Amino acid sequence: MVLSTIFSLVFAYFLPGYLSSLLLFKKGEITGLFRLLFSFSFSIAITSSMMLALGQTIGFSPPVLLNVSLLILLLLIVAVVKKTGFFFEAIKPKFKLIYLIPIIIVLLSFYHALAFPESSWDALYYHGPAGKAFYEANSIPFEKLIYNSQLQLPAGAHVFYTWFYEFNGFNDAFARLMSPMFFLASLVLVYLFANRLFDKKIAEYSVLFFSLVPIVIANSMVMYTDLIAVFLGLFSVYLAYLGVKEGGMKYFALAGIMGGFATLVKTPAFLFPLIIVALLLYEKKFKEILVYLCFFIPMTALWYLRSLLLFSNPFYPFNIGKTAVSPLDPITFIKALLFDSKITYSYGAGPLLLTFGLIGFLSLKLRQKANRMLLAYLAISFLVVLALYRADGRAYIPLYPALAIVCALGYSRLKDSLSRHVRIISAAVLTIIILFSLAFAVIGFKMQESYYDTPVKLVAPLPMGYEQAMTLRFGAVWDLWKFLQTTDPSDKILSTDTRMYYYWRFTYGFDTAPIDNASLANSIDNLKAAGVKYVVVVNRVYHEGQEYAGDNIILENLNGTYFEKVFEKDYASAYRIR
Amino acid sequence: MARTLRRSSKKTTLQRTESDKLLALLAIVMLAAYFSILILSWSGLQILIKRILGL
Repeated sequence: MVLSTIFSLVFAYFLPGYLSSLLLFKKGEITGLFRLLFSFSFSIAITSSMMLALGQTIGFSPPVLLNVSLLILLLLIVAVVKKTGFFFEAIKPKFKLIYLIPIIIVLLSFYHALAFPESSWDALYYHGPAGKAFYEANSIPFEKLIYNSQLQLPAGAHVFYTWFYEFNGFNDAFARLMSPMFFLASLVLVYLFANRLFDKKIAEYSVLFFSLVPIVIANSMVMYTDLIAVFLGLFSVYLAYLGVKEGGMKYFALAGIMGGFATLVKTPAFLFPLIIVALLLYEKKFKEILVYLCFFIPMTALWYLRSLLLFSNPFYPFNIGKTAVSPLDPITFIKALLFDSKITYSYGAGPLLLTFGLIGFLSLKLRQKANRMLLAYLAISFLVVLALYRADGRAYIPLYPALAIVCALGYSRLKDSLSRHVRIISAAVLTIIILFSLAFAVIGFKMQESYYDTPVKLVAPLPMGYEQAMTLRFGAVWDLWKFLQTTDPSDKILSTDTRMYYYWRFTYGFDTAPIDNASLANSIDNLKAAGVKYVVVVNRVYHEGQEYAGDNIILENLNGTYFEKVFEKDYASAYRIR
Repeated sequence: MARTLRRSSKKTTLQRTESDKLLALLAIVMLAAYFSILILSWSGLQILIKRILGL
């Protein structure tokens, strides 16, 4: 068990990428830090792409997985031994005081992500079922996609944790591990980028400032795919930038693979190809654009072609243009940028952008190429986010790595000022911002009240026991779930939406079930034909006798002869279909 | 020539220090503005305080 966990972790997060890096980059050609980051991101890309390919064709039962992974491993080892041998450029980790805050925040993000089970604000309840469904079906069940909204998203991240389930059995800790891992990797990437564009000092401050962005901290603790897609997309930009600097077509091919995989994690990652093409056009690297696209398009095409065929919209479930923030409504997007309220409290960029960010913008020297590139990146991504996406703080995450660098420029200007007063003020402002962000990181985003049980008190900052946490968060829903564990696991459930959706076995929601609202008898027949044995109602409003928005023929007749009430507690009840 | 250069660079330094002071002032004002908006518009703050007090 421990062995398979270690194997699955090392393989999925490190080995294939590391072995590929040995083949692709000679010793000393790249820095150790870059090799480490490359190993991390390409391992995930290779593992997940393999899973996607298997999932769409022959399925991924454990023996197949093991054989395929061993085959890849063997091939790589043979190639490496024949060509290069194993090596790693030395990384000399030098601890500096400036890293203390990022390290604390990273540790807190690992703690909050791993020590707490699902909470009401964690999109794990939404993404989790996809990974679990793939695991249970041993493939990506295309025929079910239409009926389950959470299975319609690009599956790049979902199959990645399906990989762990195949080796270790279902355990959502592997899904929760992804966010802090990518947060850490993003910090390294920000360092590498800022170091390339400016210098070591700016890079150090950029790392600090990126770790202080509240929306980024939030996304490092809960399972959302935005930060993951942004890291992968930005890494593809970094690869293309390295290609421009160092020369060599392999960089553009790798950027294509990485960028393609980013779009398989989340659709808005289509932003990054625009940035790369703009960069290459600016540098007049036309052949390189072709190479990039030759790798990018095959990576991404299959999934989006499939969405086009299934939903007549390649970017489904994203409706481009429909939910966009209007540039004529500046308040909405300023609010989203600074005070997003989608996850837990209102935050977003926090005070960072208004203080050092603004100063950074004011002191950008457009005669310098690095500054122009930074501004161009921000302008393109801001316009794309504005045009394609919604008033949701996490949509702006692509901007924050670059904004962190701008903040670093602003802060370093004040810090190096000749006036002592200015230096003191900038240190004070920085301290306030650090305290503000640290407070978020310490409180975390998982101690929120549940949707159904409000308010849950902050019991202790220590990890609660699983049972205690679930009881506190979900109360009656948790008891209902436990009751359903005593029934036949092959019975399907028709349920109103619940935050514990993740835990239900394969289930129909009311909006996707084959219900015929014209005839109750017909509806019951449809449900029975689909294998549904239970109807579960989890809704406070409904149980308090008020009108429920999801009213339909089943909900209206639960007290009739077709149903037998088998469970009731507070606002949760279950009915067996007779 | 050298004197002119020294004088002009001295002037630039002075100017820079002045603009640094303005920027530092801007930082304080914006920080205050941010927290004012936050406190005025943030019903979440109440939740946070309640949470901390264990109410």
